[in-house]
Amino acid sequence: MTGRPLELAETVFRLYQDLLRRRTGFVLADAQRSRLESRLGAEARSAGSFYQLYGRLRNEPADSPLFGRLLDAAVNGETYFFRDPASLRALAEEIGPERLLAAGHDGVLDVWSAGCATGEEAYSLSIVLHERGILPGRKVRILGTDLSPAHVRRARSAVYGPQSLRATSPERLRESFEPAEGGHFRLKPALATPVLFEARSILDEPASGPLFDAILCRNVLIYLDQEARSRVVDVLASRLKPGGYILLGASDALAAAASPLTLVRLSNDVAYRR
Amino acid sequence: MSEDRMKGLAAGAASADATERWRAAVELSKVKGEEAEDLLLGLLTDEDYRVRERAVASLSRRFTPRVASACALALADDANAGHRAAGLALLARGGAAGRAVLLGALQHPSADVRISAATALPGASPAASIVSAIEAAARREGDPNARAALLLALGRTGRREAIAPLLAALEEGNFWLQVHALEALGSVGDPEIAPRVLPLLGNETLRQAVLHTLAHLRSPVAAEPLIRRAAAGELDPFLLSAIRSALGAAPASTLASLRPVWPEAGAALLAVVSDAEADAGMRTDAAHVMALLDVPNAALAIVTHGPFHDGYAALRSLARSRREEALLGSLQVADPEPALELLDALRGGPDAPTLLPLLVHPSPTVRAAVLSSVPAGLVPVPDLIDVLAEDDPETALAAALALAADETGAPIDQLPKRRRALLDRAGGPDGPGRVAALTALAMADGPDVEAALRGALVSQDPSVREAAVAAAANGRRLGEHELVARLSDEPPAVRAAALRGIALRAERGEMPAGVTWRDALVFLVDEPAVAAAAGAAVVALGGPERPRLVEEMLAQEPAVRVSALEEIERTGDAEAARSAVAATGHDDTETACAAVRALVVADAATVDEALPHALRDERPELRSAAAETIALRPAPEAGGALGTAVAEALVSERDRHVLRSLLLATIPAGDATAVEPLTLVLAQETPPLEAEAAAEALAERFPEACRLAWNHAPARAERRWARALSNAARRRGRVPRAS
Repeated sequence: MTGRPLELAETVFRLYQDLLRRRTGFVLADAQRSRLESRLGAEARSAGSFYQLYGRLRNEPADSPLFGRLLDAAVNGETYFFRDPASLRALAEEIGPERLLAAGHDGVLDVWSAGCATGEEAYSLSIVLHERGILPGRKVRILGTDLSPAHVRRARSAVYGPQSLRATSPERLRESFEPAEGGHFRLKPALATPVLFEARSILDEPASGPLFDAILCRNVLIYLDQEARSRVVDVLASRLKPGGYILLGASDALAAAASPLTLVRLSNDVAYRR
Repeated sequence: MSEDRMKGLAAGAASADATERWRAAVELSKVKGEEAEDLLLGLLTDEDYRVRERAVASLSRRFTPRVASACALALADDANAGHRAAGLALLARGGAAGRAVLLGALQHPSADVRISAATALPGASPAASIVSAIEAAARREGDPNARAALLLALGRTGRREAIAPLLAALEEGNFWLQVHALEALGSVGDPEIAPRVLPLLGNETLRQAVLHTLAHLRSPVAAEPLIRRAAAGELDPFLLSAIRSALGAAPASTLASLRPVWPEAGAALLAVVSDAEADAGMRTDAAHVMALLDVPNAALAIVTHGPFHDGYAALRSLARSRREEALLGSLQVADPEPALELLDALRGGPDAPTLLPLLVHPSPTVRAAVLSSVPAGLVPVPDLIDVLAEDDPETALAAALALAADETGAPIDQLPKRRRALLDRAGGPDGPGRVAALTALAMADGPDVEAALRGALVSQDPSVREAAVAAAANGRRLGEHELVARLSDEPPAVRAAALRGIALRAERGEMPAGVTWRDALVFLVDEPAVAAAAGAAVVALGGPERPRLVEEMLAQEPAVRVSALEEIERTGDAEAARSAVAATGHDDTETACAAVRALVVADAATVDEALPHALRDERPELRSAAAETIALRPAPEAGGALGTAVAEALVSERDRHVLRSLLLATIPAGDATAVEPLTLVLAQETPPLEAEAAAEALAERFPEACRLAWNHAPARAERRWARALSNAARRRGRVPRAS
């Protein structure tokens, strides 16, 4: 069943591009062809060919494990704890206190990490909110969503390896994690409690739904085609509480530029408001 | 065409709704006659650019003298820039007739019109006489902007004849013309130009333009003088880009001789790549130059300071001797990207075994990719067993498949140690490892395999049952009734696997006893995955009724009809393929593509009838599918419809993806008429890789026509034709003579 690696022909690669664009809005760059070839090689061999694998994927629901493999292969879910200290500081030191003040004594701080991959960003926020003393005293709900069920499964397990923890200081590692099997670390339960994960595509979000004080959506828009991008920006804007903030990645800023959002300069980062 | 229909189209073309006008433009392309032509010409002035584009596309297929005259008028339409642009676009696609109008417009009293005409020239496949005409116009042109536009047009001819007038323009001393002449020389792309422009590097005002030209010329001759400048401390984005281009074209011996010229290259380039604030393009070029010059620790610097504009592609520029360093470097960073870049570069090649150290990479993505990329038998069995035992959904299948084969290529049943390991896991607890082991055991046989499959068929885990059904279908131990029993399994994935299994056995000619295509009908309205598998099963089980059943399946839901059409190729049934012809123009692109692909097993007459249409379809996906189908078929008879259709498609194709498929189709199906369009492709600065393979194939079959093309080709195409002819001649020389 093995031998020479299977080839992903140009036309068949375009089928994968179309499939992903149609089902998720994600744009698979031409340069990703050989990447898809190496990452889906075993699945293709098991199906018979890349074309036959495509035939299977085409009829699979987006939340099936097989379609999840395609998403994992196509989308770089590479992330790590404290990847973006500026936005974490902005949330813990500026946005969080401001929004909690506005919410009153019993108010809740609602944060959404849209396109959360394996959850490092959402958990990093929980850690810094604890470090700043906002948690456990105040009510905070952090929602992480990602279109890859595999990513969400990993996020829910809250167990991470050295790759995810490469920017985590030894002090934080000691304070926030406990050792797990195989040289991995598990986030302490108290830090994981405020965080909830759901597997769904940001493109499937309804315009009306729960509202958030802050939405983190970093390095997601760059993968979307123009139409999907503007739809997502509209949805994000509609899901903000009055006065809430959206934090985008630097490479996503262009998409926001063409939206009704207003740029706001914070001490630690830039954000967008309705 | 009925009068009512024409009235409807006229109303659509005059509609206030742009979408209606666009639709009218599409429909009018199918209507012959001057009335339709006039409506389309009217749409060239449309306010919506999409409608204009559509009208241009429709008119480009009927470039009559009336259309040419209308375009000449459009060129002079000062009040409507969109109309002028549409006229230009149409003239540029109008072949010799369009070019004649454009050359005529070079004498128009308005400089704007002359500039517009020059911008659209030279058009496809310019002969030497076109160079002369443009050169003459450039000599008499008084307006500096129009003259600059003409110089650029000379460059776009790509012909050697353009070099002399462009070099002459360089010597005029007019900065504006010099800059445009340099750009045009870059477009000609002949590396032999490099020595002529290098002396101008000393001219500070022209330096940037010269470097830009050198970056396009890819001349190894430029490498040394450029590197000397860098060594003297003159390092900027333009110089680095030109150096990268020159080094990229240099042979290994030249690269080695250049290293001592710039002893400080390592430190200077490291300063650029490690500067996160530096220009991203400059950092990228610096990373490539580091690799090409083989500076010490280049691999580690690229891995550490990447990603660059092109990710970690600079790792591909490293000398072969530095591979190990690069692999070790990629193990020192947690980011999987450098390792994946090396994997992509080496997989399938002779150096694939060197990827083995990446098996200890922390990223399961990398480990899985290594297992799928290294040759069979390379990874020790105990390591594979360990990976399988990890039960990681990313690595399990790759490990199991690697376990199922060794370097001898022997069947799994002759590899007892590997077989035992897979059986152990297949009989173990549920999880990704068990699913993977069952999948890998698909080709194994024996009572112990049968026992493992039976055990898995009653697992609580649906994915284990699905894998067991798929494996059982592959083998012969379990009877059809056991597959049929799984058709009532609750999870759709298991039912779909059972239907696929039944189809697979039918494809192998083992018509399952007691199962007919009628048994699959009930599943056509099941979940999409099951319905699709049922569509394929109906066709697989169809036997002599298959052609009729294919027609029936075409009336089903998209998932069903596409799967049914895809099944035709696997059955190899030419009659059934003929039934698919009706769907090659289907509105649903996926259905149309599947129908086109089914023609890979059709008879020659069916293909000659259907595929030329598909090659002219509006949809790039369909054109691409048609081209790839031709590429997969045996070579057609010389002088047939397919060869002509491929040549015509090569001329008109604008989509690079489709062009690549067309070039693959040219290898078996191109005839002498494909030589000229292929020359145009070969004249591009970076033609698709498939172009040279197509040139070699044509050079083998039509050496005379190709030699003629070589003699008259633009500079870049000339070099590529020479290589193709020489390779073809060498191959012919190897063929033993008949005794």
